[in-house]
Amino acid sequence: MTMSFASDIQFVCLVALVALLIYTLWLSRYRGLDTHVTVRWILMQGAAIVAIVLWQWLPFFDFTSKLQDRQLLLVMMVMVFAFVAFLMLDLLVRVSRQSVQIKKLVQELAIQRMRVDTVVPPEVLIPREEIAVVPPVGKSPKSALLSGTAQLLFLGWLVVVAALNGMLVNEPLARWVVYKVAPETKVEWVLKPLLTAAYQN
Amino acid sequence: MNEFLRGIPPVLIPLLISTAYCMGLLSLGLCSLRAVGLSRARWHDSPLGFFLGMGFALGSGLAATLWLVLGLFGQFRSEVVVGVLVTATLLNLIIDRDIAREMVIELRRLVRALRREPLSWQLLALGVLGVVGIHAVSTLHPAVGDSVAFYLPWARVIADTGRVIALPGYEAFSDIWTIAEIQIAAIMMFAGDFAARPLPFWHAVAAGFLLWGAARAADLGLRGCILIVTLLFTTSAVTLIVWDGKTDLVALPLGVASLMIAALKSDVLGRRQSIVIGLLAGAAVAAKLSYIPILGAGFLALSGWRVWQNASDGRGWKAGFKVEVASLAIIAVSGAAILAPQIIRNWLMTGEPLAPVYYFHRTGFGLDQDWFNAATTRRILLSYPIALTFGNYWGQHGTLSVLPLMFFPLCLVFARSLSRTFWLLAGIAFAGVAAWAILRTSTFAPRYILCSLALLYIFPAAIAARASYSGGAVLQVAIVAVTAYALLVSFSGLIPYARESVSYARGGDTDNYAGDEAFVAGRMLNTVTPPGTRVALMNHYRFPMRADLLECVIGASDAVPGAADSLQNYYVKGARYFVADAATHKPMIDKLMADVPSWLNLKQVYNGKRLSVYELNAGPGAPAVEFQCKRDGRLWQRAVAK
Repeated sequence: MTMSFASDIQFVCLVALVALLIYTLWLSRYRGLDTHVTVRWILMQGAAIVAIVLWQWLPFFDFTSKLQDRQLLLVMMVMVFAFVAFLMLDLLVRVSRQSVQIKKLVQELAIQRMRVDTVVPPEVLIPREEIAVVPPVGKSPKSALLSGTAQLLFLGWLVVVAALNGMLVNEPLARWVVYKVAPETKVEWVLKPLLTAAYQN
Repeated sequence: MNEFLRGIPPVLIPLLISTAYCMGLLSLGLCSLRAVGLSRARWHDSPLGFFLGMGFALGSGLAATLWLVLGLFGQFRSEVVVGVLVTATLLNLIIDRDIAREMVIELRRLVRALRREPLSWQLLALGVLGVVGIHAVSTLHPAVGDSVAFYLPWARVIADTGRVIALPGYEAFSDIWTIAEIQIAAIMMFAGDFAARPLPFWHAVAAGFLLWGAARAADLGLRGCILIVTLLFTTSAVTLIVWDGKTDLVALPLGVASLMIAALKSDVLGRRQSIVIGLLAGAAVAAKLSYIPILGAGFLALSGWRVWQNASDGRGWKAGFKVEVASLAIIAVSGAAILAPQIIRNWLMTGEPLAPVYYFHRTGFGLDQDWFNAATTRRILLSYPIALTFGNYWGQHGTLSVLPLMFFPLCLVFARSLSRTFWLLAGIAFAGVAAWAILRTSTFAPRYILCSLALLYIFPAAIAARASYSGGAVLQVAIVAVTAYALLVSFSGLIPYARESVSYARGGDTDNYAGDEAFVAGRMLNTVTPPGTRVALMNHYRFPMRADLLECVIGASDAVPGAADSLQNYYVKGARYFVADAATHKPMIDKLMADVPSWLNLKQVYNGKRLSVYELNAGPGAPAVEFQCKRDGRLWQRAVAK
């Protein structure tokens, strides 16, 4: 394995892990992933990122590099199996607990509904025309996400993209503004070669 | 008639003629839909924009196929073209008057909805109209690049001969399936080449209607509709192709319509819908071969989703699987039916029925194109969404609109609670883009996958529309501002081309255009040569030449097997003029000029910066001329010299 190939793999792994980390945070923030599960996963992903960054200096990789293919495969399979089994057992415990909780809640809800129905019929309680239309956006559109900070961040993003549009696709208006504001900028010369190639290059 | 036309500004005449042709296509499509039992009543739950776009796309695919069949029999004539389209239009006016009524109602509804919007959005709507308008005017700009080399000259030869023959000098490339070029030829036949230029533009407009329909079907509101059309017309992969004469845009509505029917009729595809999807997909593939993997991936993804949906509803996956296989089989068969005339043409012309997909006897021009080395290919793959917006790779020819990237952070908040139709449309579009990114990473050009990318615009349009309705004040202002910025960039980018188009249109033909040497040299040749003169070309850009000169060009059949080109061979095969482009053919020209026979007198009759035109005159000791060009009916072809 050549050095550049190894560093390429390292780069791809890092990109994948960072994407996973961002996804985990996103799940936690917007999809209701439990905090304690999030913390475990972030710790695992952090450890993996550290391992990938430091893989040339960690003794574990020294050990695995001495193994033959079959031995390495066995070690990897056992480790992956152990991790997946741990994770599944953990989740199964939580699922079992929640099943019991849901069963209790459903029973309680049915009892409460029966009590309420005997006092007031449902059509009197909630007239159909008065049911509010829930806005079809996020769980709370006016929540902190759309706060001033988030909007300012979005504005910053728009400015960056417009500036890149000026420098990378030579859009004259944005380009003029960018070089007026920062005449010495070198971003164009760094980014342009990354997004340009001649035939067969 | 001429008196009538004199009152109209010259720039409008070609636009009006192409509009009339396109109305004929729409009528043909609507009549065909009615003929297979899919009139508007059967699509009452689908937006009108989608129905009209689909009708136009189907009309375009069917008309091209019909013209091709007529061309195979040598009956491709202006009278037939006009007759078919006028009949379809009249028939449609008689049997489908409800459509016109619905269009008026829809337009009123739109105006009412627009009045309820804030002034900023009303101005944005006007801006979109302005950008579409400048696209229309820019289509009259003189063609450049590939289109001057092959697509337009081929159309001119087809129009002149009434047959779909190979373009001399580009025999191998003439294997490509034709949907756009034959329609350009059809307009050229009755209105000249100037009126044929807006054809790709009208296909882009049809794609705009379809996307508007997609936004309506996905409940994105008026702002979503405005945004999705803005996204399409601020895409430089559209903007650049509209005026340069290339024909990629003709495939766009065909591909979008086929994917949209599949998504909008997502519960179960009837046999008739599958037939229409197959016809549209077949025509889309014929117009742009690169649509094979992206349409295939879209249909497969949708079928997979439906099978999974059946299974999760408890109906079992086997029954769903059978239904889907049957639908895909119908799509494949009807797609093959519309491709059949193309296959037969290639079989008759070159003995290669499956060209340009597969060649039995010769190499072909190779679909396995690798444009870049492994490192660049990997870089493209890793930077895919960014490269689509900011990339400047060889052969790319245009990028996506900058707006999707600008709106991207909004998806963290607003990409939820969207309708199933929205996710289906976005999903099949994404499947197509992903399939291309994985299978053909090294062939990187957004225009190759434009139908999936355009449909994927539903995603940024949806999140930006949502944000504009329920985001904070700063967010709302920012969305309007960046949309206006994108429109302004697109508009200002097209102003030089529109200005040149207007001055070009005032002359009514290419004669007043001196901006390109190919046009000047071509015009000079048209003036000095009698009909049927043979010309040898070391030059790609031949569209300005007369049709008879194009048909008589020294071609592959004149080459001496195993020997390089030589001035002696050109003369012996009957060439009287030789055009040399030093910018593209310098090594070959140098080789020819180093070996001028002593009996041959080369007289330079045009000397430009890049192009030179020589007259070939024989002196004493010249060999006998073997061939000349003779007219046989409408066709000029090589004949043994007497």
